[in-house]
Amino acid sequence: MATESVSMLKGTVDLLIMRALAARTTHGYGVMRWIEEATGATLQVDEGSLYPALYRLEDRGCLASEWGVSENNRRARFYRLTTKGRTQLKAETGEFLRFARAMVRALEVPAPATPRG
Amino acid sequence: MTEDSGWQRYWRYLSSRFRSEVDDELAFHVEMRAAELQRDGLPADRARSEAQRRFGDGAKIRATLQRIERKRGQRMRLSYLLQEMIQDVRYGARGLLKRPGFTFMTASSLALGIAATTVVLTMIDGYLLRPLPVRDPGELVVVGASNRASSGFAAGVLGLPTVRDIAARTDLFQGAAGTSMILAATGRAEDDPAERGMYLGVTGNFFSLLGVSPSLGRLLGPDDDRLREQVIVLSHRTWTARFGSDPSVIGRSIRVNTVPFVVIGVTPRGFSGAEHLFDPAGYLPSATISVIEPSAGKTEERRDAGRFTVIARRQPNRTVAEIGSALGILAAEIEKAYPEVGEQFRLPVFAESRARPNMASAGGMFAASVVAATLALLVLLTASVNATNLILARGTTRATELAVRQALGASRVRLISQLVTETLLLALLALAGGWALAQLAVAALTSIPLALDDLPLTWGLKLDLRVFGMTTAITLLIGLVAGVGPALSASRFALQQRLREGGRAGLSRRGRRARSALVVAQVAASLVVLVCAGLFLASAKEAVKVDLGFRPDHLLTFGVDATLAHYDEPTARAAFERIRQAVEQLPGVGSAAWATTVPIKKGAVGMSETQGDGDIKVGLFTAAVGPRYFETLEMPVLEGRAFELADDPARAGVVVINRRAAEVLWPGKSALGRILRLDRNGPPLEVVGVVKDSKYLLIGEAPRPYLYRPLAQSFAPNVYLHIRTTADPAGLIGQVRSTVTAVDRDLVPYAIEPMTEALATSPNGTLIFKMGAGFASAVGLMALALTLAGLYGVIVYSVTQRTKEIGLRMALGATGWTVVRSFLVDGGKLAAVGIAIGLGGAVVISRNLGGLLVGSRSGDAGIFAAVAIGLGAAALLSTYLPARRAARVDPVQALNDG
Repeated sequence: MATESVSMLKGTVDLLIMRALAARTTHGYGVMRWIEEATGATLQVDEGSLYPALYRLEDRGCLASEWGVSENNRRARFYRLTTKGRTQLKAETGEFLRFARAMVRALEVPAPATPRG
Repeated sequence: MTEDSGWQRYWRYLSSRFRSEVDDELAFHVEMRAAELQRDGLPADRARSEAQRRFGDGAKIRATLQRIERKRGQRMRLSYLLQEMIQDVRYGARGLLKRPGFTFMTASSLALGIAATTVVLTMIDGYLLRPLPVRDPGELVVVGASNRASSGFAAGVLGLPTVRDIAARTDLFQGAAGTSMILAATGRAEDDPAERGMYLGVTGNFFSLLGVSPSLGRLLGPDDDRLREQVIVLSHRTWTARFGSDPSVIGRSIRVNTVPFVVIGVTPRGFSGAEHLFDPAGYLPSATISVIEPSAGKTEERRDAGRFTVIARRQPNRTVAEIGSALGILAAEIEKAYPEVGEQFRLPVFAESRARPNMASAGGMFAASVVAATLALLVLLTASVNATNLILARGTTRATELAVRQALGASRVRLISQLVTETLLLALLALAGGWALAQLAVAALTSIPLALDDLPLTWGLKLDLRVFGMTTAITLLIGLVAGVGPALSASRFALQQRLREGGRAGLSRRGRRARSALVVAQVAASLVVLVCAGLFLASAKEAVKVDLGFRPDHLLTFGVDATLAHYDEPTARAAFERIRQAVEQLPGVGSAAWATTVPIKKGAVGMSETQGDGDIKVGLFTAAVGPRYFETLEMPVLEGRAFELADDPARAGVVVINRRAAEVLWPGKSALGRILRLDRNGPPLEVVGVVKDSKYLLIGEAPRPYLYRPLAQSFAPNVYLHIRTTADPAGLIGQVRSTVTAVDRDLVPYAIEPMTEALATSPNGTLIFKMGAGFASAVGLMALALTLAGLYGVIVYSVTQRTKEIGLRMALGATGWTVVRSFLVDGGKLAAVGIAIGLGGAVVISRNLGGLLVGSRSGDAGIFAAVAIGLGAAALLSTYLPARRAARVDPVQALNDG
C-alpha cells in the first residue's frame, strides 16, 4: 500500500460495489480489486465492510449470487448486478455526482483573506 | 436428551449450510490475496500469513455475515410457506368449485348448525355470561325474600328495615343497597305532556356500591336519600332519546307524577342497574317513593309490605353459599321478632349472574340455557357428522387422484395439509353462512316488540365479538375434526390400499348401521317439526278469520292511569268523562266508551266466584265498562239492555253477562232479572242484559263466562278508551293524543293503537301463531336441510363403496336404471321408516298443541299427508342425485381399478 488512502463516505461502498459489478460479474475479491484499480488505490474497502455490504445488497435484491469456478479453478461465489440493482446504481450515481460537484464547487472557491485583529 | 423435532433438524441443516458457505467464500478471498502476494515475490508461507493478517478479525466478519444470511433464510422460508399456503387455498377452492353440490350440501349443513349454536350462545351470553358494566361485577349478589305463602322466591318484597339489617352485616357484605321498581309518568317541563316509564328507586349507597361514575353531572348519594331530596338521575338512553343529549338538562326541573324533581346527572352509557328486563328510565332516592306515590302510603318502612330487592357486594372471602346460610339465621331472627313477615321467612341469595333476567327465574334460566345449549350442540353434531360423511365419501372417490399425486412425489404431509385446507375453507364458508343466518334470526327475534302495555322490555340479545369469537373457535375445531380424520385416512389409503385393494376404504358394518339410524332419526324429527309448522301456518291463517264477537276494524284504543296524576275518584271520573266527550266530538269518530280492559290486548283484570242457580258456582272474569261500550265494540245484546247513564252509584247494582255465563249459571232458563253476588259477601246485582260471547283473553280460547259491571258503580283509576271510528283509526292517533292532552295534561294516553294492530302484535292475538309458525318453519326447514344432506351423504358414500360391485353387476347385464333403483330402494327404506316413526310422533304432539291452534282442525290430515309425501319425495330426490352417478359407472374401468 504505497498510496495514501481516503476513508470512505457512508453509502459509497454500496455504490462502488454496484459500479464494479456493472462492469463485470465477479467474486468479492474481484470487486475489491476493481475498486482499488479504478480509484488508483485512493479508495480501499476492507473485508469487514465489503462482505456485509455484498450480503445486504443481495438481501435487498440488488445483487444475485451463485457458486461458480474462478479463473484459478477454485470454487467461488460470484455476484451479479440484477435489474433492480442496475436501476438503483443509476439513481445513486446521479445523486452522488450532483453531491460531489456541489462539494467541489464550494471547496474550490478561493478563500478570502483572513481579516486580522 | 429429548429428540429433536423435524423443524429443529431442518434449522440445524440450514445453519450449517450457511456457516460452511460463508467460510468457503472468506477462505477463497484469503487464498486469492495470498496468491497475489506470492506473485509479488513473497514466499508461500509468508504470503499466507500476511493475507491472513490483512484480512483482520475474521470471526467478527463471519458472525455478521451469518446473521444477515440467517435472517434472509427465515424470510425466504416464510415466503415459501406463504406460497405453499396460497397454493393450498387455491387448490382447495378449485376442488370446492368443481363439486358445487357437495360444497353446498356440506357448507349449508354446517352453517345451520353454526347458526343454531350462535343464537343459543348469544342468549346464554346475554343472560348468563355478560358481566354488568360496573366495578368487580363478580362480587355482586342479589337478595330476595320468600315465606310459606309465597310461591318461590320473590324480588321486590323487602321492607327498608330488612334492607338495613342486611346492609349491617359488614362481615358478609362490603355494602348492600335496596332497589324498587316505580311506574311513573314524567314531563320534561311544566307544560310538557307526561310519558309513562319504569324508574328505579334506590337507597343512597346504590351508585357507590356498584362503582359507576356519571357521564354527566353527579349520581345519587346518601344525603339525597337521608334528606329526601327531590332529585333524579336520568339514564343515558332517556337523556339521548328524550332530552336530545342536551347537557344543560342538569339543574332543570322535571315533573315526576306531577311532583317537581331536579335533574342532577346522567348514568354512563349501557348502565341499567342490575335489571335485565327493564331498562330504568331514571333513578330516584328511595325516600322519595312515597312523595310520588302517596297512595302507596309509607309502606316502605313496613317489613311485611316492602317493595325492595337487595343488591349487595359480598366480602371477597365469603362465598354465596356461606352468605346464604348466614342470611338463613338472620331471616329466622327477623321472623321471631316480627311475625308479620310470615312463617318460614327466608332471605334467598344468588350471585347476580345467576338471578337473570330476574330472581323469580333464578336457576331456571340456567337450566333452560343448558337444555338449549345441548340441543344446539346436537344440531351442530348432526351437521358435522353429515359433513364428515360427505368429506369421507369424497376422500374415497379421490383416492386414485391422491395415489397418483403421491406417486409423483407429493409428501403425505403436503397432501394432508391440502385436504385439511379444503375442509377449513368449507368451514369458513359455513361460518360466514352461519353467522349471516344467526344475524337474521336474532334480528327477527328482537324485532318482535316485547312490551308490558306500552313499556318496552329489553330482549338483552346482542351478537357481538365475544360470541363471534366463540363461534369461530367452535367452527375451526369442527373443521379440523371433520377434516383431519378423513384426510389422514384418505392419504394413508392412497398408496397402500388403493393400489392393492381397489380403494375399499370402508367403514365397519357398525359404523354404517349408526349412520343409517342417524338418517332415520333425522327423517322422523324433521317430519314432526314440519307437521307442527304446517299446523301453525294453517292456524295463523285461520286466526285472522276467527269471529271475535266484536268488530276489530275501525277501532282505536288507549289507556290512562289516574293514579299517576294523583287524582282522587271524583276528579278522575270528571276527567274521564271530559276526555270521552272531547274525543267523540272529533271528526271521523262515531262513539267512545271506557272499560277497565281491552279484549285480548290487555286480557283479564278480575276474576270472581259467582253463585248461580242452586249450587252452581262459577269463577268468571269481570270487567267494568262505561256507557256506549257494547255499541262501540259492536257486541250484539241478545237479551235485555246495555248499560245506561242512569246506572250510577245511587241506583241498585246491575250487571250484563255473556251468553256462556247465562247458560252456565241458569241452564235452560232466562237470566234476565236474576240476582247474583260477586264473591260471597258482595252486594246483590241484577242481570239486566245478555251479550254475545266474544274472545276475551286469547284468540284461540273456547267460549268462557264473562261479566260486565257499569264503570259508574265500580270505579277503577286505570281505564282504556275504546273509540269506534268511521275514518282510518291509525290516522286519528295524533288528533286523539292532542285532544286528551288538551283536556288534561297529566293524564298520559299510552298504548294508543288500532285494535287490528294490537291483535297482530299482542302475544295473546295472532302474534303467537305467527311466531309459532315462523319458529316451527325455521326449525323445520333446518331439520329438512340437515336430513337431506345426511341422506345425500349416506348414499354418496354407499355409491363410492360399491363401485366395484356395481361394475360387476353392469358387466353381467344390469342396466343403469336397475342400479339406480337399488339405491332408491335403500334410501326409500330409510326414509319410509323415518316417516312412519315421525308420523306417530307428530300425532301425539299435535294433540297436545290444542290451545295454541285455532279454527277447524279438518285440514290436519291433509297437512300430515302433504308433509309425509313431500318429505318422501325430497328424500328420494336426494337419493337419486348421487345414485345417478352409480349408473354412469364404466364396468370395465370399475373392475380394472381393483
